[in-house]
Parts: sequence; C-alpha cells; structure tokens
Amino acid sequence: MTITDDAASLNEWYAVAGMDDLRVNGPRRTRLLGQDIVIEPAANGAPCVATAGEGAGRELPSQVLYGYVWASLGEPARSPLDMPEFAEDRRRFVDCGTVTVRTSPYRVVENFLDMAHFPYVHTGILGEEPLTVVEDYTVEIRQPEDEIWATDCTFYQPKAAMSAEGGIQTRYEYRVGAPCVTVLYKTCPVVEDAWDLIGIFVQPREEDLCDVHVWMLLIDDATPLASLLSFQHMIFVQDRSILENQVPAGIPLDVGAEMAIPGDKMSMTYRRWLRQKGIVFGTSRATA
Amino acid sequence: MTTATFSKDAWYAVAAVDAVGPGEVMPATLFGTERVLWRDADGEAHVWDNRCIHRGMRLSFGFVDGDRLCCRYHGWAFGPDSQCVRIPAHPDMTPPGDFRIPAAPSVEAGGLVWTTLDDAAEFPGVSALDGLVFCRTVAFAADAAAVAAILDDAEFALPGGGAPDGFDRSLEPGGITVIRASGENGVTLAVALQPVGPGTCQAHVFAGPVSGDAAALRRHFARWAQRLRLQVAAGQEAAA
Repeated sequence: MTITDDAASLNEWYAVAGMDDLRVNGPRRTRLLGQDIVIEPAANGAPCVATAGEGAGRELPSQVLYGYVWASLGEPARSPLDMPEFAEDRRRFVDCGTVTVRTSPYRVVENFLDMAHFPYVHTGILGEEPLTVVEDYTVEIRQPEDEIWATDCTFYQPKAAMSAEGGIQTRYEYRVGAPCVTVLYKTCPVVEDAWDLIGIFVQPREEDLCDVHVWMLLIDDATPLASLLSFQHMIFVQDRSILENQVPAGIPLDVGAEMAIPGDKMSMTYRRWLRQKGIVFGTSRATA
Repeated sequence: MTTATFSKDAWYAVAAVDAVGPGEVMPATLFGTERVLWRDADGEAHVWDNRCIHRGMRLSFGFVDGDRLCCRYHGWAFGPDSQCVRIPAHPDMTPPGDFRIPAAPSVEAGGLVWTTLDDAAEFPGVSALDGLVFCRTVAFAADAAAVAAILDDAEFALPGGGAPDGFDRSLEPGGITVIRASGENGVTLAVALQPVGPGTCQAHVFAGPVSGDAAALRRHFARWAQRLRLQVAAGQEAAA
C-alpha cells in the first residue's frame, strides 16, 4: 500500500463516488492513491464532504459534477473537463455502476482509447474479423485545455449499441480530459449527425487497483435501462479479462518498453503526455 | 539420499506432453517467471515469454491459428520462430524484425515438456522415465523443496495391494525423485517436480513398469498423488 508523493497525481481531480450510489448506500469508504478517504452527504448544505485519513480526518477539495463526487488529495490547478452535453434536455444520463479492476488506472484508460481490440475482445459486437483495420485518424493535444483529442476515427461494428439495428461504420472521437478521465463521442444509432457520449472516470485506489465509474449520456429514450446496463456490463467484463492479464500492471511510459504501431498513436500520445506530467503512481517506474 | 535442490539454471518439466495438444495453449511458470507453452498444428511445442510485446497481454490467453500463436488482445500473430508475422490493425504492414517474443529452450522427453530459465543450460536427459507411464500432474501449495522433503520418506502400496518390503530412492537430473519398491515385481514411481514459484509447485507423476493394465496403474498412482497433495496441505496447515 503505497502513499504516493507524486504531485502530478495528487493535484488531479478524481471521481470517487456516484451520486446515485451515495443516495442509495450512504457514505462511501474507499481509497484514493493509496490513502483512505470517506465521502458522505454533508449536513452543512454542501452536497458532500470528502475526508482523508482516520477519525475526523482532513477535509478534501470536493465538488459534485456529472453525477459524481469529485475529490482531490492535493491542490488541483484546473477544473474537471467541460462537457456542455450534460446540459442538453434530450439526453439521458446512465450511471452504469462502478467496476473494480486490478490494474493501473492508465491501462484502463488506454484500453478505452483503443479500437484495434474490438474484433478480438468484443467479437461480434464492437468488431469482427476480417474487418480489423484501424484507419488513420487525427490525434492532437489541445491547448489551453491540455486535453488529448482523437478525431476522424472510424470502425465497422456489428452491434455498436443496444439501439443499433445491424452493423454500422461507427465514427468516434476520443477525448482525454485528465489522466484518469476519458470520454468517447460515438455515432448515435438513432439520431443522424449526433453523438452519444460514453465515459469512464477512473479512481486509482492503489498502484494496481482501481474503481472504474462508467457512464453514458445518450439520445435514446426507447431502450430499457436494464438492457443498456447489461450491454455495457458485457463490454466491460470482456475488457476486464484483458486488463487484469496485462503484465506488468503498471503502465510502461518509456518509449520502446512495449512495441507500438501507427494505429497506437492515441496510446503513444497518452503515454508521452503522462510522462511529461511526471506521473509515477500506477506506472512501471513506480514498481521498478 | 540427499533431498533434491532446485536451482534456477536447471531444466524442469512444465507439463505432460498430452496436456498441451495441437492448437492448445497453457501457462508454464518456473520460479515465478511466466512462460506460455503452446503446440502448433504440426505438433511442435513452443515455450515463450508469457507476454505480448505490444501491450503486455499474457499470451497464455491467446489462440493458435495453424503454426501461429495469436494474442487475445489485438490478434497479433507470431510464427513458430516467435517472430510477429501479422498485425490485424495494419494487415499490409510487414512487422519489423524486432517484433518478436523472447523464446525459451524447450525439449520434449520422457512424456514431458521441459524448459529452463537459463538459455545456456544443457538439457540433462531424462532416462529415469524410460518405461514409465504418465499418471497425473498435481499442484501443491508448497515450495518444491518442501514436497521433495516429503518424497524422501514417501511410501506407496503396490497396485495389486500390499506393501513392498522396502524402497530404494534416487535423485535424477531434471528434479526427478525415483522411488523403487524392492522385490522382483518391483514397481517404480518417479516424480518430476516443477518449482512454480514461492509456495507453489507441481508434481508430474510417473509409474511403471507397464506389465498389464496400464489404466489401473495410472489410477493407482493418480490416487497416491492426490493423497500426497492432501498430506502436504495438512502439513502446511499444521505448520501455520
């Protein structure tokens, strides 16, 4: 159980509890970056309080945003990413729950950004042989937000979503708003020229253990909640079988530690960006 | 007889040859170092690092396509020489020469697949298993050395019933303990130990000679191995 002094990690915002979960289950005792934290609905008018450490603890910077409580163990220099779609009335927010995964948070984000695994890990759903090609796409780091964006991504998907009738050439945009915060924009199967949003907020508990908060923001009034959840859970369980079998669990940030191909440029940009931030917690450098 | 010792530069059995059939893949670990063992469609066995060079995925979760082992994550295909031959995301790309899984030495002998962590170690040969049949592989929650110490005193009943007059024991290359029952119809038991890691090992159990009912011989010593497993587990519990 490492308590990190990695300032780059300490000064980030992390989603640490779903508001739905807090309402139903009450205070959440959990871990963040190797430390005990507690998130509870506050009596003093604030929507929630996050504390670190034993007993009364130390009150942490916290806020409620996008259906989650966010907290930081340090002094965050910027707000979590801006997603104006959350203000659109036509959209439906789906809290897909929290999945615990035994690996580095960055392996989880990197897998989320990866299209090449669709035919092998989500066979017959998000991809299918022989349509395995990752076409070229654009990846950039946008300033001043300091976010990674990948645009012009496409992939053939036999069943892109619960609401999809048959296979479609799905278009994607990927966005990394913070090291543990990522969202994808994906062709909405129902409304033309609109995106559905699917995101994960990864809560790093230990170097090699995280809680992944999964959500969707859809234009889809028709599909029952249970179907949406079971679809997303099926996808995530498939991903977890990969994630927990990547070795080492800590993501290697050194160029050449793992081989890459042109289609991995999103992953390579992400790793370089993490390295430049000086992230150590959850990387192979931390355990080396 | 001295108890077997387990040095990291020696050869060890990791599976019975029939445990990994053509097109099959399994993990094979020595001293905590994970390897993948797989057999191609032509029947050749391979032992490689259990880690894809691309994103670190354990190759033991992969699948065999003819003479290639494919990673479960992105379908990267590696030929029998462990060189990457196909990357499905870019099918027209010729994978560079350094896209290769580190391969370990391997030998099939005496009904077992053998490997070593030391590329320079010479395979010692396993004549101790000549004329014996494979009975069973048993996993132990104990160090190989602890199981070897128990084998120093282990006894067995004869397959037809009754106890032998005594036992002769010897240590053979490859971490094999051989226990021979005295007498003219003497039965031989041989156990090849695989040091999997701290607190865990596997025993590949052989017996012979096969004079009559081979299946009965196998059953007899498979049960013996199962009892040894319980005995080791009880010993561990008592020590804890």
